[in-house]
Amino acid sequence: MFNGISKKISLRFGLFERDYCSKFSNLIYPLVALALLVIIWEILVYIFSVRSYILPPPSLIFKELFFGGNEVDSGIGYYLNHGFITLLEAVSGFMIGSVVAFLLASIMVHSNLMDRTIYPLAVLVKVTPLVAIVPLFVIWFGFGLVPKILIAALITFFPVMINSLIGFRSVNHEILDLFHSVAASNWKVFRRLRVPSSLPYIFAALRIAAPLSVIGAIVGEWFTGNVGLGSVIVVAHNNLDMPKVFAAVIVLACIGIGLTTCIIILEKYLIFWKELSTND
Amino acid sequence: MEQKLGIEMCGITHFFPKNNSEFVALKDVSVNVGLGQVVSIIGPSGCGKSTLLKIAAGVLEPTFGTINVHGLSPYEIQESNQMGIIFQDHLLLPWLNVEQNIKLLIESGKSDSKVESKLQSLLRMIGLEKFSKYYPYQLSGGMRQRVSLARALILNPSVLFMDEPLSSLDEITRGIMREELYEMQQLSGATTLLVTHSIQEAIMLSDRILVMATNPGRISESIDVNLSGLISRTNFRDIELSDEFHAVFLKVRESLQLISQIELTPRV
Repeated sequence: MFNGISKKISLRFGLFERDYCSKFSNLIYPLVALALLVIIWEILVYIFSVRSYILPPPSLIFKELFFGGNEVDSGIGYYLNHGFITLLEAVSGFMIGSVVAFLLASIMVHSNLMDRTIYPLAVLVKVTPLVAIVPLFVIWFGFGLVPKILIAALITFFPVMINSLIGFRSVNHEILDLFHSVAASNWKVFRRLRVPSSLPYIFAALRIAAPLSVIGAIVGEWFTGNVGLGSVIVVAHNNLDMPKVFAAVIVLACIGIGLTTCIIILEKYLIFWKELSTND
Repeated sequence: MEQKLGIEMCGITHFFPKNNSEFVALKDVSVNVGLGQVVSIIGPSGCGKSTLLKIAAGVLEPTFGTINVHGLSPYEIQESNQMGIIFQDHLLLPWLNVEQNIKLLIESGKSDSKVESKLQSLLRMIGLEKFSKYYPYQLSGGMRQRVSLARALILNPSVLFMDEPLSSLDEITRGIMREELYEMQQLSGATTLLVTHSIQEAIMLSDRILVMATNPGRISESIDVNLSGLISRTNFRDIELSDEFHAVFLKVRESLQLISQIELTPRV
C-alpha cells in the first residue's frame, strides 16, 4: 500500500517536471513569434518609410522606453514613476472592489432580502458605462488618486461579487446536510465550507478583474491626469508622439501581466488541491 | 417485552413540488428501530429511501408526521452531536487532510469534547494512522470511505444514518468495507438506519429489512434477519454461503420482485 502511495507521489513529481517543461515550451513559442513580429514591423517601417507619428519602428519605441532622449519626460525612470502611480491606483481599486464584493456576496448568500435588494443595484453599476461616471467622480473627489481608485474598484466589483455568490452557493448539498447534522452555525458553515469551496470561482473572477482594474485606472487618468500612464498616453497622443504612446502601452501590458501572474501564483498556493484532485 | 425505541417515525408523508403540482414521495410511512438495532431500507430507485433517511436525520422537514430519536426530536439529537451520517459519496473536503477531515464535524458542532485521543484510536481502527496527513486525492476509494466512517464515528453517535455507504466502491473493497462497517457498528452500538440497494449488504449488516414500494413511497414488508448468532460462529464472509442467509435472501428478493411486478402492471 505504501509502495503504491509513494509511486503515486513520485508519479506526481514526474508530472510536475513534465508540467514545467511544457510551460517553458508554452512560453518560448509566443516569445519567438513576438520577436519575429517586431523584426518584420521594423523592416516594413524602414522599407515603406512610414512616418514615426503614424507608426514608429520598434527600435525607436525601445529607445524611448529604456534610454529616452535629452528630454526629462522619457526613459525608463520616467515610465516607471508613472507606471507605479497607475499600478498603485489599479491595485488599490482592485483590493477595495474585491473586498467589498466579497463582503456583499457573503451577506447576500445568508439573506434573501439583501440578495434581492443588492443584486439589481450591482447589475445597475455593471450596465452603466464607467466612462460616463468619471467626470462626476472628478467633480466629487477632485483630481487626486481617489476618483481613479474608485473607477478601478467599480470595474473590479461586479465579476468578483457574482463569482463569489455563485461559489458560496455551489456547495454540495450533502456536505451541507452533514454540517446540519451537527447543528453547525452559519458562521462555521461559511468559514469551513462556503469560503474554501468558493475559492476557485473567486480566483476565476480575480483573474479577469486584475487587468480590468488597470483599464479602470487608465480611464480615470484620461480625465483627471497629470500623473500616471493614462495621462502620459493622452499628452503624447495630443503631441503626435507615438513612440511615447507605445512605450506607455508596453509598460501597461507589463503591469497587467504582472498582476495576473501574482493572482495565478496565489491561486496555485491557496487552491493546491484543485489541480491535483482533477489530475487524480 | 416492550422494546426500547431508538428511532420512531410515525405517519411520515412528504410532498415535493413538481411542475406546479405536488409529487407524493412518501405516504404515511411509519418506521420503528429498536435501541441499538440496525434496520435496512431496500427498494427500487425513486421509492423515497433516501428521503426517508434524510427526514429521520432531521435534515429534511416532512410535510406530515412525527419523528423521535431516542425520545428526542432530530434537532435535539443534532444539537447534542450524537448523530452520524454517512453518504454514498465520501464527501471529504479536498483542502483538508485525513486528520482535519475526521475532526471537521465534531469541531463544527456545539460539543466541546476533546477529540485528539479519540482521533488517534479511530485512525488506528480504520488502519490509516500513517496517512493522517494525506489529502483525499492521495487516497484510494476504500480509504476515503473509511475516513468518512471515522468522521461519523468520532462523534460517538448514538444514532447512525447510512445512505448507500458502500455503493461507490468496487466489489472486493466493498466486501472488506462491509465487514469493517459491521465491526464499527457493533463497537459503537449505535441505533442504525441503513439505506442500500444490495440485498447481501442489508442481510449481513442488519437485524431487520424494510422493503419499500414506489409511487407513492411506502413500506411494503418488514423482514427479520436475525443472523447475529451465526456471525459470531462463522467467518463474516462465509455467511453468504449459509442456508439461513439464502432463506432471507430469497424472501427479500421475492418481495422486491413482487413490487416490480406491481409497478410494471399497467394501471387501468
